[in-house]
Amino acid sequence: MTIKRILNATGPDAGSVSQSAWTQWKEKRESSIRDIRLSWYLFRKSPTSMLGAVIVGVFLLTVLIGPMIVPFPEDATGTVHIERKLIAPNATHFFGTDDLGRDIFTRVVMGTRISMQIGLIIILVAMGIGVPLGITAGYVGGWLGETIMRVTDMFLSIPGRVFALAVVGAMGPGMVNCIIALSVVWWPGYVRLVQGRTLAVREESFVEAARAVGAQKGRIIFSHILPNCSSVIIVKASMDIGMAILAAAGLGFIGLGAQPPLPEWGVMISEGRNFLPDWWWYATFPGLAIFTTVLGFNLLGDGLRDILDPQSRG
Amino acid sequence: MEIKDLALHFDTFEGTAKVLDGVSLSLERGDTLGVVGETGCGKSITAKAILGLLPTPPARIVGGQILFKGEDLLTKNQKEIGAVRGTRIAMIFQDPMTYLNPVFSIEKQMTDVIIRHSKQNKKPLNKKQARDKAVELLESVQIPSPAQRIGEYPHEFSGGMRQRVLIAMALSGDPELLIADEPTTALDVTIQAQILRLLKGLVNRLHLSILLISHDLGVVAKLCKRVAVMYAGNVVETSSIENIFNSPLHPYSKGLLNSIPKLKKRDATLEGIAGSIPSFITPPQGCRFAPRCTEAMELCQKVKPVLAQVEPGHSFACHLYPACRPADA
Amino acid sequence: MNILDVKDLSMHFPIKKGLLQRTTNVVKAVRKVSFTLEAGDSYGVVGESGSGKTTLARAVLHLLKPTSGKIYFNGKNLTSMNDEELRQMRQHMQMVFQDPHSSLNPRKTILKSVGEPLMIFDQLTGRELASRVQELLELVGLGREHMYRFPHELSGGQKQRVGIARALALRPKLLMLDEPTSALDVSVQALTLNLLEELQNQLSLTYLFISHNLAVIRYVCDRVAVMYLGQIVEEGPVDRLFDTPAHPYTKFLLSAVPSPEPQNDDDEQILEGDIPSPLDLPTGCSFHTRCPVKVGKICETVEPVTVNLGQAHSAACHLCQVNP
Repeated sequence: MTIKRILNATGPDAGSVSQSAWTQWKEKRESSIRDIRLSWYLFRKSPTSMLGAVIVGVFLLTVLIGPMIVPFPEDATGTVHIERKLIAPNATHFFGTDDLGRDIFTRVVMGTRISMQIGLIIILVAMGIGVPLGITAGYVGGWLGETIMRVTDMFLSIPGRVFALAVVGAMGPGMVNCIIALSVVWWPGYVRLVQGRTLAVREESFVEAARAVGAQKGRIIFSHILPNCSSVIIVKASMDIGMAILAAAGLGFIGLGAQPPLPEWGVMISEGRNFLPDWWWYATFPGLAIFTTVLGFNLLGDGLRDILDPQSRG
Repeated sequence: MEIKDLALHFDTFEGTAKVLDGVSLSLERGDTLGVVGETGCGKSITAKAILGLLPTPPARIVGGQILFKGEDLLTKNQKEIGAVRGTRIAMIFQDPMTYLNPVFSIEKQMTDVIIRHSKQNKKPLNKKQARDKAVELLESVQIPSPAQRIGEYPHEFSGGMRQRVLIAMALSGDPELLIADEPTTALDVTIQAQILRLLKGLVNRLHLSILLISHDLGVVAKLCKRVAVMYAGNVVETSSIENIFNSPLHPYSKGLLNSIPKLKKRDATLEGIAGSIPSFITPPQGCRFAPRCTEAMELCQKVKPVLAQVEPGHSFACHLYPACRPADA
Repeated sequence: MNILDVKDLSMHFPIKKGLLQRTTNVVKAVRKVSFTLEAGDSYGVVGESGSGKTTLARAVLHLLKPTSGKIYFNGKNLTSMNDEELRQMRQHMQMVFQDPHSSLNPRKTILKSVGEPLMIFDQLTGRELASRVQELLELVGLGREHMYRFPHELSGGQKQRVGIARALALRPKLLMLDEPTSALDVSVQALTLNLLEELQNQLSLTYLFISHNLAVIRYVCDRVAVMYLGQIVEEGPVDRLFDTPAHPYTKFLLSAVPSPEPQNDDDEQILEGDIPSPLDLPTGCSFHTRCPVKVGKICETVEPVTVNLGQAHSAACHLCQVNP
């Protein structure tokens, strides 16, 4: 083939047709593997990102195996041990006990599961509503896009916490209602973000090329636009989980979220606040748990943004 | 200016890229030198290295000198280089839109630069004097009605006008050397012709020296008297403009010339150069062009040729010419 | 029958401002352009920014909906088709895009990018898809080893070849090339142009080649149209037009090209002034604001008609009427 001869002075010959399945799989994934290694290299360079990753890792580990390793599992729900109330942190009770004698360490660890549930569900619901609306608004545009954006703007103009308060106030307290209220508050942020990104991606050459080869609207949205929005969505989601956990704890603190005896961190702080400063451990440890978790997710989100941002990959 | 054996490495994820491998160029006062090469040859990096514009964690100068009027610029610290930038050596870049701040008027951007340079030249100007000088400069680059247009914003100017503004800003410090990095690549052909004519006029009027970086030999031919061809971090040939077209010596230069379609008549076939630039992390031992060279010999794979003069003003680095063998080979 | 027949094609872009999206102004990117292509032609379109050449290609391909005019492909009227019919027509007319770095989806492997048209129209999957894509890659001088790579791992020249392979996947008859080599190095450009020529012969393709680089047009095309501010100002066989240009703009365009031959000297004429904005088109002949040989009031007020200069060469200039 003359073309090949002209163009490939040092070109290798075409690979053999038959190869083992393993070599074939490796060949297909080679580029992705190289990409992941580069991302890991860049991520490792930043100490704060690594710290964030470690914190989130510990958090997730606790969610998974926490309930299996806690010393006093029955303390997570309504047991009462008046005889060991308000003991300071020691070897048996790492974080001390509360006014009903429950081991605080156990309750904090069990609380990770609750926080994870709340945070994850809120973000998934927000993404589930916000991302499709955002892509539609960005790609389709026109009056539909305008309508979506203006409705989003309306939601964004209402202060989140106040709105959540109002919703919970109307529906009654409880973890489920708290999740619903916060999801309603959270989705507009995703619409904004995804709409902006869709507008940018829509103008790219490869989208035009896809249309030129006959791709229909649906294919373009799912196959071209969505994958190129995923980085910004991931970054926002990872930071949002921390913030959602914080917001839920806030509602729990004022009694409108999860209800006692659930070991939710916000509820625990609310209970423990009456025992400050003498029995400081009651409120402090749940507070530290919230602080560390939110910090971890924020740092992780920052780190992810640094490695996913195409410009920094140079 | 004289660049002697400049060597520069870049630290990357996959290893150290030996980006510049002993670059040597020289430029006299009032002279115009064009540096020509394709993507990855290191011409832009060389230009930026002169003014210390490369970020020095990933980039590292590992050898050589950049002599400007006898002083080695590489030995200067940040402050001293800052004093050189703009006042003795100025630079203009490829895309005029991104080099002008869109939220400030041209007047503000120009007077800022003028005042700063005037302080460095120990002849400080106030705002009114700076504005007058700015209008004068705009006039010298042939912007129509400069006194009225100076208050406008970059987006109100066309691409060619913006490049003229940037040239005016570059001239505001009265530099002796102007480095132009692909100044017309982003402009239309008819506008490009205007800018090249302007630059030529500046050379004649102000006795300005110009170092022009370009991938387009035609542009270099219009403006420069001498040319240096670069490939993969080396200068492979330097000569006058006439010689590079009439008698190119290095196989790469020949290949390059054979790849350029001619306007005057249709060529039989363009040749092109097969293959691609070598890895900078594991560069070939010996001549870096050898893997793609149609005239490569065994010696070329082992020993790197040095630049040697064939006739006055014409040197190249290729083992086809025995003098290019290094002394110790 | 001509493979492509464009009649009075116009592309206007309304500029909408304000809350109610009122149309305040119109950008007339393409104004009543007409030309025809025969099968096997290599037709070049040359112009600077604002000439409308890029918009023209997109309008012909119906990536943008033409404001007015008719486009016939092999006799079929494209402008009267609905979206689905147009989509089906895409199998016959394809485009190679200018910027190799952004015309490939960075998240997709080369296999997925080149195979996309095959997945859409021929419903190919798995091994069949891979083998067909491999064939296409080999046609443009790449190989199986490139199939599973991502665009950022390839060089500019290689990416452009991938773009060509993708465009050829459905075996189109008409290929539109929008500055296909402008972003490439000169040595790679030469190889790519040779490739395009070989492919044209091998696959009997018709090319509509858009470029601002006159030397490339001379190398590749047999006929050329020169565009300025949305209109074709001169059209004809490449050699005739380049050697004896009739329109003043063409003459200046040719003399402005910096030629590697240093014999050209300062007796060349340089065109002054900037290209007018398409928002504010000059009256009469759109070139009169910069034309140094204009004959007076007629150039400012009356739009010139296209004059046939013989041998398929025509130009739109009042001066051409004066010289028979």
